[in-house]
Amino acid sequence: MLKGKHIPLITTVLVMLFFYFPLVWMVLMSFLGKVNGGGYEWTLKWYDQVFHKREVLAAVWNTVIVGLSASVISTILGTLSALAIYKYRSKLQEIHSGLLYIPLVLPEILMGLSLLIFFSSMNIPFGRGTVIAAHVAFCTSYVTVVIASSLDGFDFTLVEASRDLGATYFQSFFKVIFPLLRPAILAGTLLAFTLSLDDFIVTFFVSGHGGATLPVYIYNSLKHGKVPGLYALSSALLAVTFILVTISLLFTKNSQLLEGGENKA
Amino acid sequence: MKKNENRIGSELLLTLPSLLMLIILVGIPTLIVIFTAFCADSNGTWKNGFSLDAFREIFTLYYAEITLETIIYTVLTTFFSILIGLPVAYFIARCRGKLRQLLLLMIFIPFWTNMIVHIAAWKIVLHPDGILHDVLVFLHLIGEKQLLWNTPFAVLTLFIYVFLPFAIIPLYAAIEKFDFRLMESARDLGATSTQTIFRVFLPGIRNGIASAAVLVFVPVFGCYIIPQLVGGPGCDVLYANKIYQYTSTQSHNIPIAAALSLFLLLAMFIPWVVYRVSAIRRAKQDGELTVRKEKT
Repeated sequence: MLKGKHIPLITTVLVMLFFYFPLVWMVLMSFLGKVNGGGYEWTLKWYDQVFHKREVLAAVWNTVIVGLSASVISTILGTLSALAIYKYRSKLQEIHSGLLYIPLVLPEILMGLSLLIFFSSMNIPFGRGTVIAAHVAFCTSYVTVVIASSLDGFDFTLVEASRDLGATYFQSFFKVIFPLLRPAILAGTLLAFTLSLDDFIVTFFVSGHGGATLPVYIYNSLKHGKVPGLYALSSALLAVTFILVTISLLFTKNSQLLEGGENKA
Repeated sequence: MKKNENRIGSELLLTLPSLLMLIILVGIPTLIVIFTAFCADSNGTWKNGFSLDAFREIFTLYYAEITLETIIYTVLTTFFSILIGLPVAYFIARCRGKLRQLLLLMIFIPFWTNMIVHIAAWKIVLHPDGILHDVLVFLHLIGEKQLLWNTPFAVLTLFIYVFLPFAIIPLYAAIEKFDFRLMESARDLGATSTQTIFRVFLPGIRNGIASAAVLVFVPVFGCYIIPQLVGGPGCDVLYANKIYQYTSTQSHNIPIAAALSLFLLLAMFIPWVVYRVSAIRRAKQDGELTVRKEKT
């Protein structure tokens, strides 16, 4: 008999089917090819075809370069800004944190449009550089949130002690602050890379002809009709996301991913 | 004195890198959008001076209709996401150990997957040659010619599919903190299970419900890819699509795109304002309640 208390279980099962049926089906189709005379066979030909295309390789390369540079740069900026905001309570830091808050709440389309107008009015050519800049602009805020939340229990007397003992400013940063914050910094980098990989809207506005990442390439092929191997490409991107999310869930606390998640919109 | 200078120096050293980046890549571009909305030139340059043309252009019945249609989609998506998300979040929060970890992972994967991948996956399912179409035709639920892809149904399905995790995660976070003994004591005091849910459970997690609503409402309102790629002729133009169209080459008009995005920003604040006002009202009510309790 169906009872009210079974509703959560049933809904969860149905939602998981809803979430995973299209994804699993797509992955399955990416390994299937039609045989002459009907029927299907297992094949890697879609992957083979698609990863031999010059534009696809360029898009993959762009995605990797953009993801790595944006996550490294935004991690550096985000670490510094989290320390600054946590340590100093001044008017300057109020402005600073106000500006950091904007990318977290601004609709992506507005961020994309604003950067599009900005770069074109400055006559900056669109390409990989503008995509990296745009990704840094929104990733930094998320990194700051992750690192700032780990600073809550941070003992700044350790830093002062190292300074009193004669460490220079940089020594105390690299020998004291950095090792203590390393888990949070790694979590922030991972989050930034995932965000960079997850972004389509902002990238689309600022990528021009040379800066197209994999999601932009997939979008263009979806828009302009059928491209064989498109599902292989989408499955590959899904696999990378799967690996990244699993790693972050295994190696960081749930709370950090949750925080990143809650702010993602 | 020297120590003070040092302090300011190290504050600047920590602050300037990200502050400069934010001013250049966030502050200035956002201001430029506001100024651009008042440009007379369709390229958004200041040469021809100040004008209100862009705003005149968008205060028309046509845009009112598009806005209304977008609001309907957005409200429906928000409503269904919370309705479906609540039991799921409840179930995950009541699970323990490995199963909970697994379920969270299964919510996070679609959450972090690029929207484009989701659209590609659904295209295989809903396409006229797709599996769902074949199955429904086989079951005689739809006709051979009837489309699933390129329909309002497909747009709404994709909206819910993509943004449901945005509702589940804050709901889960709120339910996880909820003290379930409150429900037990309500039952012990004679409340029916419906009463317990509506009088104890839902008010107890109202902050989670409010953040779920905001987190779904805002991105759906600004989403142009799903209508564009899934909607097909007839329902491929929602509010954000107009912004996109005015930035593309065919109907290039940057000031109108800028003016539309300013109104998008305004629409975005509606759920925030509703949330704030109701939070203040509730806080007042709670305050009155405690005062009353103290008096008795």
